[in-house]
Amino acid sequence: MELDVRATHTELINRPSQLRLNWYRFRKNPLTLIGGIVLLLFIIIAVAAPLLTPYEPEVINMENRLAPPSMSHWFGTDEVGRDVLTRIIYGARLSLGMGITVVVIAGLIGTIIGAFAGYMGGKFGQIIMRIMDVILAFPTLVLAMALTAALGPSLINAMLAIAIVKIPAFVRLARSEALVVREQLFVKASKTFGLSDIWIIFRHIIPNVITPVIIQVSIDLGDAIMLIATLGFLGLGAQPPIPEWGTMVHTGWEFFMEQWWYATFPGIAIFLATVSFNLLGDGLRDVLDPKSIR
Amino acid sequence: MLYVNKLIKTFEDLHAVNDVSFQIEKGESYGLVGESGSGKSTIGNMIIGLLDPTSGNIRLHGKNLWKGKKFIRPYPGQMQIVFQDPQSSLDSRFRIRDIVTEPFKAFSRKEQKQKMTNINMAEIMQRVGLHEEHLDRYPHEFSGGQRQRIAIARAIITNPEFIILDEPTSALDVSVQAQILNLLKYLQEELDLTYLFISHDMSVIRYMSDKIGVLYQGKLIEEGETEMIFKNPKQDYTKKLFASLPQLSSQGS
Repeated sequence: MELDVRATHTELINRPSQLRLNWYRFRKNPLTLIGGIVLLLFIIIAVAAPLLTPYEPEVINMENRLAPPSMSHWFGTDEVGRDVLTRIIYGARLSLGMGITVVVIAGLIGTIIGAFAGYMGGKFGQIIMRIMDVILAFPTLVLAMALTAALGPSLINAMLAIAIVKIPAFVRLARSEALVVREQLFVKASKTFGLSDIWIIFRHIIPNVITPVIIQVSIDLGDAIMLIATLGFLGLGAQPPIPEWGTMVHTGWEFFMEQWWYATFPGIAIFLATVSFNLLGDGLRDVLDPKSIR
Repeated sequence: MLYVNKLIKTFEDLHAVNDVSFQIEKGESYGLVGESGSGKSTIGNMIIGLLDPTSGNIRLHGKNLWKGKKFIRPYPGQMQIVFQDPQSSLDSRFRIRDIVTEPFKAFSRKEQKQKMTNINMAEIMQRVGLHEEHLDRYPHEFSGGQRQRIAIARAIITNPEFIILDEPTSALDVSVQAQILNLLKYLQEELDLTYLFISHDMSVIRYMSDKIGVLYQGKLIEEGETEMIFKNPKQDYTKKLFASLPQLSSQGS
């Protein structure tokens, strides 16, 4: 008997390019575009900081202290004569760098823990989730403040505290996705090959839960920058003379009545960075997770 | 070759599989038939190591596959399974090449390397009716039947001697079903495979199996050579199953 084993249709299915579709969804939302552009500017500023200003962020010039905005100092100077614009530009490096580092680390750790909790399930998963519930029970800011206060005020400790308070959201997210993925047949197939749980988690589970995690990362970035600035403002984060936006608002606050520019401009920077990250995060969610479009 | 002896699986108070015994000889195609919920897939899952039996034993070449709750895996790739739903059985993040060679990942690095150099991917793909250039594509670019061919390629790549086919065609279009069934028959002959074919579809079972076992509510109620059972079913339930088949009547003129 002649057996026809050849596929009769070997041509592949044609689908519109995913990339083009994503770009279209991204473009049609003007707010996302604005957020993206502002953010891009911030990143350019952060990267090109030394090229953009003739001043140094930490060099003191007592003769020119608390000068109002002028042609040579667009945003004025502070109480020891440092150019506020220069410090904001260097502060962008710090805030963006720290914000991204903290959220990416929290996302990474949270995803791994969540993937394990979801895939393993059982008692192990329950214990992990209860620990996360304990952390989630506190308002993020309060817990971050308590942690930094306990660890001692410094930039590193503030980052650590923010990372810790950010992890549970990622664990929850990754776990709930992992619970779905582990029921997929390709996971069962991997088990029948004799592949280890670790292999399955890192090769199958994590890659399949990563999309919502990326969305969450982009949404959390604005929040993390806000938290860093808040801790700085409360004197718990970066310590002077580090040019951190929140810390600058904190010192500038004392001079607010007479020298309004000192606290105002770093405040505007915090606002712009936070809002643009949030806009971009929302837009990215709409692009990558069309189900969630309201 | 494969002995299933007094196999029982209970979920709380539900007897999913109740005292089932049968054996499969080398080169044979054994069909397990029954309606959904009759325990056919549960049996397949216990043989392949996804589900531990409540009691009873399964032996492959005389060796017990289960010691209590622990699955004693035979040589990796000796047994393979092809699942029903080709949408969910291929990871959409993997290239076809990585999907098909995934079973090798269970071997040590050295063995993996050796196997990868020895294997002729073009030949494997051709065997299942696909092309070598499909290897660098992703699953979403393929239709259901093509995806099932990929799943079959993944099953035969380890040179298995025994493959469990868990309703491999019930998620496919009728026209594609026939192609896949023919492919499976061809591969069985070509590669000297032994099949456990699980299905609820009597016509598919008849076409594929040398011997069949009829499952009803977790019990094996009838067993025998396919043609014998089809010609002379002893149990009422089996007769009812046959009655569900569409009949072709020939009217003489």
